Amino acid sequence: MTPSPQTPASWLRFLQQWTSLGGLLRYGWFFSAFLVFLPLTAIDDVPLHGVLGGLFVDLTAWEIYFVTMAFLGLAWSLMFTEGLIVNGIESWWSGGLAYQRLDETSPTGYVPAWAEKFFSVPVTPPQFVFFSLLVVPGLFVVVQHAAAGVTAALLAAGLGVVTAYLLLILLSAPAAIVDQDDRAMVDLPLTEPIWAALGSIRPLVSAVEWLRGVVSAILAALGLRYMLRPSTTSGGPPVVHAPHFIAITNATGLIVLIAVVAFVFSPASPDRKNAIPEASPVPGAPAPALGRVIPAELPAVMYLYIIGITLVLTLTSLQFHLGRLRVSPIATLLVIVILGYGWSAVDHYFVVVPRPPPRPEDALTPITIARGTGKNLVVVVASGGGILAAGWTTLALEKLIEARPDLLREIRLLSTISGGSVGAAYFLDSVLRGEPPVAAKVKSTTSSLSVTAYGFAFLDLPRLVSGGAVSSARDRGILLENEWLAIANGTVRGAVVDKKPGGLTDRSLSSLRGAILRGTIPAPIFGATIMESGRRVMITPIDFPGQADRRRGETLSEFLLDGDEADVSLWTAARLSATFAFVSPAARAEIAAAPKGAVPPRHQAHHMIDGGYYDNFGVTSALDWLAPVLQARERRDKGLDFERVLVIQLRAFRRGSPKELPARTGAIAALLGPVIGLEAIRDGAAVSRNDIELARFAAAWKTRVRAVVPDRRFDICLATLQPPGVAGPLSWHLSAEDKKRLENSWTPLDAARVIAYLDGTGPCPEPVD
Amino acid sequence: MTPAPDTRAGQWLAAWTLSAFVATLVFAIVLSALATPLAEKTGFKMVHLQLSGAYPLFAWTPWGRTPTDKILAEWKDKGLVAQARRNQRVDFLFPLAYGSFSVLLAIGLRRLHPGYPSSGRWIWGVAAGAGAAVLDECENLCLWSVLQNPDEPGRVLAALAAAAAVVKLLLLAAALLTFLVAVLRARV
Repeated sequence: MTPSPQTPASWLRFLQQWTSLGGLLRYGWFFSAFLVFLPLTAIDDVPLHGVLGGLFVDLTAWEIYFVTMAFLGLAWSLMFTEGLIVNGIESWWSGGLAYQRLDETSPTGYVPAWAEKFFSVPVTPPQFVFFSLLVVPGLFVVVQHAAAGVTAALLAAGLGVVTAYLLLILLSAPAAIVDQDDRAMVDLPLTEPIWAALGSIRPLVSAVEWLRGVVSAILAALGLRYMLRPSTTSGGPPVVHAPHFIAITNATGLIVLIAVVAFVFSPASPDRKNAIPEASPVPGAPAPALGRVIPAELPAVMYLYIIGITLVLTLTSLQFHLGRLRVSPIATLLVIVILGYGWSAVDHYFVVVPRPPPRPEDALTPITIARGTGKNLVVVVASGGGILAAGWTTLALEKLIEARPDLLREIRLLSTISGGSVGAAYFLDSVLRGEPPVAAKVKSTTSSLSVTAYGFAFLDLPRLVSGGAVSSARDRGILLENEWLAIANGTVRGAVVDKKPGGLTDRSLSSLRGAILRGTIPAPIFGATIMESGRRVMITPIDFPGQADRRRGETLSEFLLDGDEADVSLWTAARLSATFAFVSPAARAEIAAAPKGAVPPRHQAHHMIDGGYYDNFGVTSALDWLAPVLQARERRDKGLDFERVLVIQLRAFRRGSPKELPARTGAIAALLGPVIGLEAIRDGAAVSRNDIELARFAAAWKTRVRAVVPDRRFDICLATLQPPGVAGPLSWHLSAEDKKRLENSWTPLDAARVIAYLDGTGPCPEPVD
Repeated sequence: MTPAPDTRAGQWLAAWTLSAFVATLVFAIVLSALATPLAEKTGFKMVHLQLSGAYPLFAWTPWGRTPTDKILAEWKDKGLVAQARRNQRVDFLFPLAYGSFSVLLAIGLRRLHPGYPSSGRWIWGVAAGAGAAVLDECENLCLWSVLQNPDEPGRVLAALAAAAAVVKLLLLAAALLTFLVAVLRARV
């Protein structure tokens, strides 16, 4: 039988209902997957393990308590919002109320009948059990990997479940005690006695009735009449349906709880808005008042789930109201973001202090830096790769300097990128504090993800979804810098860092000049990329001779200020170099003491992003520095007597042979070929360009300098130190297991070859022809 | 207002079916991750071990071209026997999840059939997944024993595991086919 257009074939109708359900619950599916599968990333080899896996491990009992509540908060938010959306589906097409009592409805046919009964309000035990079970994988993972031990972790999780459930009952109480015939949760344990007890408090009932009246009036004023039902008293104004009232009280309660968390756990930070003094104390904010009772900071995973709850409430609310107008919530948010940011001119900034350029005789040129190095001139380049790269950089420097203390004076340049820059910043700061080399390693592997997640959840996400209307001077990038500063000022005890709440000593790049000239520390070049042009920029205190031209990249001073020095904090430099995609925001310069009303040149508004976009190894900047030094050596300049130039490449990740990479299928190549190619080029081009350019550079200069050096005793040599494995986290968090793996991945034989070469007792590890 | 009893029963069925489905996905992801080092370092996954007892009967498939002792020797060489055992331990839970899912799905589909309870009994074919799960557990027991002694794997146990694996795959195919027919006939 041929079906008529009005009654499509049954299998088409089936498909229609399922696709409707899929579309209707799209945020539900997505955030359910977020809830269930994200914790599984703690397991080795699960996709995203390297980026997110560390979030769910090594949690203390307190942290598990809070994380459990966040898991359940997200699960139950989904339960209510998806129920209300499906429950009101008929009104999207046929108008009318956005809520119908379950027992009054017959299947609408828009979605499968079972789904209409299951995803609905009132919430019943089956729904409650299903949505609560979604947190089980997450709880299993955090308990199994807890720092607290399984028993304490289980107790904490249990306490978290009980607290969250009581909060749910209390937040749902207003609707339940004034609308006893149409409760939005039925047959759930403890609900009836608690609501009955609360309902017997007359002033409370009056207050809730008043609140319901206010909410109803606001909804009526906004024209949201589909959320209202006629009053039970004749002539009374319409009142909000109980399920919508419960949704409003729950959402409001959650927002209040989140605001309390944001206030109590706001990271302490020094005021770094103004000029950065030279190695002088900056007043630190006092520790939170409750710091002694509960932990001073929450784990990053907690903030991740708070972001999830915020997005669920925002997106599903928009979907609920805009769906009936056929308007996409995502498109609406995009319009808000684009128009809002355009109107408010909100952006992310880093502070630059302009300083007069040094006199020529005081300039910190590559040649002055290289002077007095002795027989060996060592350049260290450190690759990007998140906290693992930071840890690998400091581990390598610790081990090498332990084996050859003279190396600290022989290393004259640290050219670093992204995570390598963070490791380099800790190393320089630690040397200046007179700490043992191990301190930099411990500090650089200390997690700083929590403050970034806090910044994203409470500063940058509200800023984004409000189109810049809710804006703060702080952002997650600034919080990250402050955290690194606090860690750097902390005291290392074993494998942990005790952060002190008092004054914090900050360092500007210009404050490093003296120590570099004295040979106490190497000169740093933190590589970053300019987002608008894709060009490389060197954030460094080094004064390169002449104007930047086609022969080298620009320094930040040359890029931003014409003639003056653009001074930034050491931690700002590291952060800009390590603007890991979306973890830290792209930021533009805020020139301190710039004349008001003056129109800055357009390029000063350009944004800095991670140096790894251009060169993930730091080699290009190192060659820019080496070229004038080798020219001077060729000229046999005074004070430059080195006979061996060693470029040590610290690479946090070992790359396999490119020929071993798995081939993509034809479909993937056809659909995503250009995107995959562009992404592959970022790394592939950097690797092959660095290898080729470095080898060519070394071979050419070896020949040129040897021609003028007596006895031809001159050599340029390369060495690469990289861990044997390929896996590791890319984020700003290392678990205890990750730290152990990092420590065990050190390759003493490779390091011994480097030392032997510098001692003059061994051959070049990677000879250059 | 409390929903009617049949509505509540349907809700419970939906809740357990969806939960079993989520559990199946979770275990599939975990097992896939646990098998990654095995596959990356030796090219052999657990499915190769499952069919290895029938070698060379299934040599025409990509998974049946290596005998059990060779796979185990390779894993032992690369220090992966512990990883394989870990995988095998979790594999005991996987059939519980997908077996429950197939039974619950069959019950649900049966109840949704317009001719219920008099017609549509063929939908029970979806529950063949539960039979597959039982066989999967038998196969797991055999492979567990094989992995306990990688130097001298029991040939009979390996062969039994392979036989269970083949019948399991056939039952899963039957369950899937029934489900697809149910969808195409839109009797749900």
